Amino acid sequence: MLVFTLKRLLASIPTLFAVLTVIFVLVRIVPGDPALAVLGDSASEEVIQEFRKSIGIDKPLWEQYLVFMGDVLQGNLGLSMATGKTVVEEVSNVLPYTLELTVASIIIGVVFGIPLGIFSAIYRNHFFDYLARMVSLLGLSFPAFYISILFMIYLSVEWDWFPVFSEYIPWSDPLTRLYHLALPALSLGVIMIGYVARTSRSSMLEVLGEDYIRTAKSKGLPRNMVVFKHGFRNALIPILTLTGLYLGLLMGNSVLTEIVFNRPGLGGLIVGSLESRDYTMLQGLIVTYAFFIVLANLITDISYGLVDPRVKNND
Amino acid sequence: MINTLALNVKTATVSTYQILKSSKLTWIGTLIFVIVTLMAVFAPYLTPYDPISQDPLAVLQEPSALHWMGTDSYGRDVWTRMLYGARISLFISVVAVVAAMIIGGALGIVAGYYGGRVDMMIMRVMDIMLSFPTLIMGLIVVAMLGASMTNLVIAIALTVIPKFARVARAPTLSVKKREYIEACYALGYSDIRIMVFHILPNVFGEVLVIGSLWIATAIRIEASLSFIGLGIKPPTPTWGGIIREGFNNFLDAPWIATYAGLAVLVVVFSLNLIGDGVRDAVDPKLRGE
Repeated sequence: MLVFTLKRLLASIPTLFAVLTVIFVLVRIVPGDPALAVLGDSASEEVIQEFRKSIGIDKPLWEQYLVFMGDVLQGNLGLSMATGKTVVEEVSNVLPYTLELTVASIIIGVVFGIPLGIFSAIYRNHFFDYLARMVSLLGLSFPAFYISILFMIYLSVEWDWFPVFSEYIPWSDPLTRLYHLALPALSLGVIMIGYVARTSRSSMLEVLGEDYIRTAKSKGLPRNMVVFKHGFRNALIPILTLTGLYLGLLMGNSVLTEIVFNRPGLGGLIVGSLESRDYTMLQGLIVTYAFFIVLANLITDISYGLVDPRVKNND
Repeated sequence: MINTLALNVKTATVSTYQILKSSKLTWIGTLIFVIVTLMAVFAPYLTPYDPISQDPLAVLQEPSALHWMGTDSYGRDVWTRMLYGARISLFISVVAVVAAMIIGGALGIVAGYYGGRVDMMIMRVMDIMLSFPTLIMGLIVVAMLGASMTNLVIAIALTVIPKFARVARAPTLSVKKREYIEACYALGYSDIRIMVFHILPNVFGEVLVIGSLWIATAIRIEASLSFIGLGIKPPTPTWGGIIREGFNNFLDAPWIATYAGLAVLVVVFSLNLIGDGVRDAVDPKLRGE
């Protein structure tokens, strides 16, 4: 297992490199001079040169690239143009909030979505199946900001069940923090349930159609054993992959939910950096997102090995 | 019927008729989407109000017989703005998906046809693009290029191109091994001629089918970007912008965001119903036996 994990870890390095290169190119082909964007049109030539020097964009491109790569590998994402603090500091301040939101919504999605999908597959074309399919399709049709607004208007404002706006709350007060996390997580969780339930249903259906399920049935094994031991375990592999893929979707959606609930997080940071044209912050945030997506893919890959021994042995 | 579907998948053509025949819900989805599209087209005939001119005497009114969805903080009729907003939101989404279909499809065919290094290069780039969440990708692109209709189309198209590239590449790989393609080589046809006239027709059906799925996503991205404030600038109505306006006044006028969002939800849901039917038809494994 260790060898397998290490192999996967090594394999994700070139991807990360490629992603960083793309980010480097992307940020540089943007029309407009960041110096002008920050200093304004009226800045004198000297000030502009000084600024370009200070953020290192006066050097030739290849040198900028090497510096960028070196910095990123050392965990240095530069200084925020707007606040003057390091990007890493700004990001790590709010990152726990986004991570806990993401993790909580995945948990909600998996806990409710998998059983919903599995039973939907078992009772295919029965009433429960139709109902479950409609519910999950409706769930994933929700724009993230809309479901957040609905929850906020009706659960927080009208019924006063939850706090309207979230704020910084230290983990030393875990109950209050969870209380503030509940509604945002539920908003994203409902969408996740939709995706996870659909994935679970289709992969379970696929597995239930396999020959070995027929064999297991004809051996006279109890129905529950066939469904759960032979069926479910094999269906779990695609469910895991796709849940890993949905992590990206979730990160995008979390931006919207964070805005609606005014929650601290990467979403607020990214919108703030867009408004203040904070290019280093934007670049740093893209790197952060990229890092987490590569990490998510890696975790998904490794969990394959855990669920399906064939994956590990083939490697 | 299952057999005919299975056969059709092999030749990569699934007719609209078969998809519609396969599920009532697909019908309902199609019906809703067609109605919404017609409403967008005939917007001026469906409302007595103007979507932009303000009425200070009718600010933040509750839904009534006069204003079905109420009025916003400038006294504009929300229902009217939704109708006109549909024109812009649907237009951007459809144009973006069609553009992505053409570019992504072409990239996928080229990658699959040439194979080797070209394939690796193209698909690597596509994988990297794919690894970015669609919304974040759209956000970055609009943030960099600036918010305008063209840039929104570019942003949304860029996020969907890799998906089409993948869909087009797979059948290209199998088609290019067929005998008639070999015959084309023997006749000395150029690569472009082979790709356009002999491979494209075989790939087209599948790409088109997937295209219908992505319009729902495109609408959601467009609404999300306008909600964040990266869409077309006000006072031009867009769905996301209207919901944002409602959200800014959610204490005084919760109905604006509620109804406007509901409309977006219904449209996305209807497209997903269509997509569901399409997917079932393409993948008979998921259908009842």
